[in-house]
Amino acid sequence: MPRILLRMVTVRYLSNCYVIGHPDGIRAVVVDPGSSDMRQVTSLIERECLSVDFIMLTHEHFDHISGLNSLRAQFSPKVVASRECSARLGDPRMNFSLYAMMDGKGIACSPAEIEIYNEVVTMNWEGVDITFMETPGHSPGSMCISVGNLLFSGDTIIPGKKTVVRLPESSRESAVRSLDTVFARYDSSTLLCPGHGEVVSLGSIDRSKLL
Amino acid sequence: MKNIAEILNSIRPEFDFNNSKDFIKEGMLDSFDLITLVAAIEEAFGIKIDGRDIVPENFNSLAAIEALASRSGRKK
Repeated sequence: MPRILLRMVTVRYLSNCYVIGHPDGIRAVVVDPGSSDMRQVTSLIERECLSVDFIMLTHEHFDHISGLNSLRAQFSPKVVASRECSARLGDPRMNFSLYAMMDGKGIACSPAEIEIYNEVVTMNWEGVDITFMETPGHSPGSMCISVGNLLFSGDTIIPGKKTVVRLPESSRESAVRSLDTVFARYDSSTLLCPGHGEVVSLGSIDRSKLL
Repeated sequence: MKNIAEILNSIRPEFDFNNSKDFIKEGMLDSFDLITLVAAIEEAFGIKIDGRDIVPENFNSLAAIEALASRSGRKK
């Protein structure tokens, strides 16, 4: 089974970046490299001699992509994102880094090498299925990603918090549909790995309190 | 049409923006508030704020935001 090798909580915005290990002990994927300081992640990868096959993005916001450029430069993985997310990576206004950094520049990243646009897509990662499910609502590019029994929900589902749909380009209606889809597809034993907060079982989440 | 003070109050009604020396330093506007504020100002006044102007000194007071809106094409 794939497993979480590291959950790094970023300093200012407390977003989660995950390193997931393949059962072969050699391969890894990174989910949401959201810090400008990725040393915890790179140290683990180098110490364990891991091959970073993919960086997977749950959505386009700055607190989930701030370390993307540095990881890409160092490990040359393929980046996987929804098409809507990918289209916003290069625009500091649309990935909100312009507002977070307030330096007049923000962060611009190249588009993803693999873009997801068919709502639900499953990819084989050397014998492990990775399923990408577009879940717009919090942002147009939001996507939930399952790897084995792990479900990376980004900001679509955050334990104990309401899904944020007050941002420009957020859509409450889309978020309702996305949550319906996620809760219909995954059972309560699924381990929810959110974009912020602790890893919990999906069954511990009260769907009715998310919106 | 809302003015800038009204827009600020609608975003963070719990704060008194008239009695602040620096909105940013005093934590009255976080990054998500700024996103909402810029979008609201652009919509209200039909202007586009240049990304290079998204810096703290342009958002630390009502006067600074008013000046930014004017520089960005807001009609008096």
